[in-house]
Amino acid sequence: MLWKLLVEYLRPHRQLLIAVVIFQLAQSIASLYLPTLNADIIDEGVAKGDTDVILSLGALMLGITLLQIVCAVIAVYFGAKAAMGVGRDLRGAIFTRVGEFSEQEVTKFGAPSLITRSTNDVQQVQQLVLMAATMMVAAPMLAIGGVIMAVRQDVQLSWLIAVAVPVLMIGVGLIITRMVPLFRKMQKRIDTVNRVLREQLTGIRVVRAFVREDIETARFAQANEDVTDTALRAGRLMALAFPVVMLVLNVSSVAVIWFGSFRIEDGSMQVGTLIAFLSYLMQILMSVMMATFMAVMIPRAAVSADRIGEVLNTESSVRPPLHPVSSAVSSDGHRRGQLEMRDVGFAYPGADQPVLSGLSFTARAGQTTAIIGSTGAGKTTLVNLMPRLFDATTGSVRMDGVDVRELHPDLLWGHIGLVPQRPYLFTGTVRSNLQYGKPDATEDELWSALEIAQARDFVEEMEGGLDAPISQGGTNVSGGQRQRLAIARALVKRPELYIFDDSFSSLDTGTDARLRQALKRSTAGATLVIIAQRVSSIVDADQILVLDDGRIVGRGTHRGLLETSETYREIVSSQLAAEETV
Amino acid sequence: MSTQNRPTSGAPHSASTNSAAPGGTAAASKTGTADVVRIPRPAGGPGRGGPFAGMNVPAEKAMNFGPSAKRLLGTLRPERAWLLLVLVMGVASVTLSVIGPRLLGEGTNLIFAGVVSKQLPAGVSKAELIAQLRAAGENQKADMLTPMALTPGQRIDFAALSNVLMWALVLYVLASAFMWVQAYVLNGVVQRTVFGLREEIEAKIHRLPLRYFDSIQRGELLSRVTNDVDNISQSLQQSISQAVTSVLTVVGVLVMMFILSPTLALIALVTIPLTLGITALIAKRSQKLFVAQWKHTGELNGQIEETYTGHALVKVFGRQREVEERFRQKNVELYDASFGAQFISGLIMPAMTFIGNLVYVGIAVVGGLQCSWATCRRSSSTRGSSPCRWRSWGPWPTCCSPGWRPRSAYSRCWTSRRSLLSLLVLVLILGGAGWCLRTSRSLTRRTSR
Repeated sequence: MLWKLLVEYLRPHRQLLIAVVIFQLAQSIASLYLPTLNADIIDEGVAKGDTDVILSLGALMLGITLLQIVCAVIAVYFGAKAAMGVGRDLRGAIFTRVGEFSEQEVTKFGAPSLITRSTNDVQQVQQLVLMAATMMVAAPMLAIGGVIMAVRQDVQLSWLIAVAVPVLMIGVGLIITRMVPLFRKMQKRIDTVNRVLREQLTGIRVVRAFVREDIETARFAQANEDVTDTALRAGRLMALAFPVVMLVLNVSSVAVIWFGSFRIEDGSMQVGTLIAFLSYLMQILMSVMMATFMAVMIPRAAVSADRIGEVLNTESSVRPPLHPVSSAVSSDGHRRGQLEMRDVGFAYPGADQPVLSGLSFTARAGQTTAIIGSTGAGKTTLVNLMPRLFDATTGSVRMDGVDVRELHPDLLWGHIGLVPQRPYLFTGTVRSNLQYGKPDATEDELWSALEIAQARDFVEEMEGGLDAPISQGGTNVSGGQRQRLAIARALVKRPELYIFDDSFSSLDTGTDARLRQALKRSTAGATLVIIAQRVSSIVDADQILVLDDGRIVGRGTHRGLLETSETYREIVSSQLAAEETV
Repeated sequence: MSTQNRPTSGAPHSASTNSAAPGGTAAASKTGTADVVRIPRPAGGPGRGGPFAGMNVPAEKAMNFGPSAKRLLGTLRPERAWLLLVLVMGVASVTLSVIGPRLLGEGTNLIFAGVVSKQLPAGVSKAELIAQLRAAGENQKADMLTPMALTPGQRIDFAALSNVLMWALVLYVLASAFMWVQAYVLNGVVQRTVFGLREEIEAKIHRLPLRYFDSIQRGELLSRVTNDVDNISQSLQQSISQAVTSVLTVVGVLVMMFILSPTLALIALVTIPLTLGITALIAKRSQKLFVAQWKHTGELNGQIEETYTGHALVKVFGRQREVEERFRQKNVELYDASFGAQFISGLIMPAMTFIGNLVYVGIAVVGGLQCSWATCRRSSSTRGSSPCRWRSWGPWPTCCSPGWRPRSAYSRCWTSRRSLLSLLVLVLILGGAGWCLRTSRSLTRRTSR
């Protein structure tokens, strides 16, 4: 996957990559030439006392150095550009792909996992590309070139390379292979610390309200101790790395001089050559070290690449229509906003039991259709089918007579005002949240929506009114306030079809009743679908559907159902009992 | 642990409040330009903004490096005994690492002397040989040999060489051992400090007024208490060990060079401001870019988090296109910032290599010139009118008449030529070692992330 991903995402940047390779090659050749020049300066200049030679060779050496630096800088420039480009493109691709996902895929991966994949995992791959472009390309060139040059300096001494390289590889390899699992463990434990912090920050109100500070602090202290413990052990290994590398390099230098002295004694080698050999050996060892580190990075990046690939290769189960119907003209003359389910069934892929099966009903415009059922009856799945967040596995969902799968998504969503079960608000202000579905809504429209949603009072009291800040998710207002703001947000949009997914649960019964009264008046003519657990929220609905185990087991009005439906009676009586005990 | 930390870090907290104010307002006005309106921060909350001053928008860091550094040092105070040990170990390992190449240079000199000796006839003492050469009119050769430790006819003095190299080996082993102790102790110091830092944050979270949490994007706050703490831990470990090692290495190398040849050491001295200048320049520019990179990363992650969590709403409320457009913009901004940051910081290593090579050539050239120049001046001042072609060293300067050559000038010249070789080896090996250290550090850092 890593390879495939790299090939695909590096292709647009191939000019940059070619430039990287060319300049890295030039850079490597230049840096391979330098030790020879160093040697010449010693042998031809210093040893013979020839200032002219020193000057001219010195000038040449500086020239080459300059060339090498310029090439290295250009290579880094292009490499950084390509790596960051890959990161940018990958992030963009994942984001777009997730945007196409239906709720089904989002649920499958989980939002937090998708977030990690779009951020950390992309970072890993991007880092690998950067390292590859700035170091990995040069490493084999330097290593091979270094061996050639060293052998050219002196063949007899080359056995030192054959000893030093494996020693370094084993030494560094041993340390890194032990270090990497520790770092992985550390990362996990850092994640735990972050998770604890995240939970505390998200639920700071709950923590304060229930005076759980001490328990939370203890939980955090444990996580903190764990991460410190692992970090200490990883750090100790890391502390060993540099001394070992330096030791191998330094002992090699001593060995080169000792064994080289015999060669010089023979007359088969000059002092400068010895020093050049030394430089080449250092270059070789350095590139070997780089390669070893890279070898460790690759598997980690590969894991990330797999995780990214999973997202990119997942096709959305909800596909926009090829030839979308862009204007819904109701065929049978009904008013717009009518929702019809024809023999709808839904099953998660691979699941034995369908979540929904054989659902048929019509939610008529101007009427309120309520759906009630116990937890796990399939209510939320049903809600997701309406705005086509899921696609029905069997049967069809129709908006004004047109299958939602044929409708242009913009048109479909333009008709719908959704109040989700968990009323999520976005970072910004009350105003920006209310205008979410209708950016050009006027102040009056906003206030009237707030009034219907029974939210006017508290928004007026908020510092800044409509411009009061809302934090991510809406955690700075209470659950009930959040729910009412979410309702107001849907109202501002003035859609033909309202879907309230258990949207009155956090409201006290008084507010609930007032809200429904106001709602009925203002949404006259629109289709209302209310999912509820509380019977009191739906007693006055025109049509109540009782959902049990994915099937409609009863339908009718409150009064009718009390007589005909056993399940409905059970629900009612259980809630009455609960209310009595409260 | 925590009780030990709290009082010491309390002081820097309040100290940085005032100095952070200008940066704070600048940062606030910056965030104000974003399309999401955010209340900068509660002005009159408990602690008068003090608690948030340090945790404010990252942009502040760049503008208040001094106070931030001071505060960091304050956090490290309880560890000062251990830090002293780190310093001592650093001094020990650097000293040994600097003496090591000097010994290798000495070894090279021994080999060099052996090469010369071998070409001379055996059975004569050095004094006799030089006298012979002078009698034969070969003053040049005599002058060249005078300062060398020669035993004519002898080969390389392997006993001396093995002695020198054995010492070098011992020094290197010890240097590595000290280096290890240094890193080991430092690791403990850093981890304990970071542990305390996290604990402090945790305590602070439970002390902060609720309105603070309302006024800030959660992702951003999280990024501060998680990423930034990680960054502190990483950079503490690196900057301390790097600061100790680099400063000590510079001092050590200079001392060594002054011992070998004061004049040539001046060349190396010249490059110090150059190195510092370049590093400061790069660091200054890259710091801004890195801050921008972190800022954009935080904001982009915030966007991603929000969009994914509110996935259904984004769709049904028809915000997909707008959200994607906003993401695209931020993504490009992040790309620009991170590209810049990576590129600028990638410049440091080539710049250092260049300076290293500059020192090498400089020493080689000036070493050679100094030698011949000294000779010529001496001879021209005695002889008066000799036209001095000092540039052409020749084998021997042509400006001086063959009959009279002050030995002292030549001996000075040769002493410096001997130390020249040692110096060059020193520069080469240290340059290579430094490069190696820097590369392996950056590699470990990247691998560990």
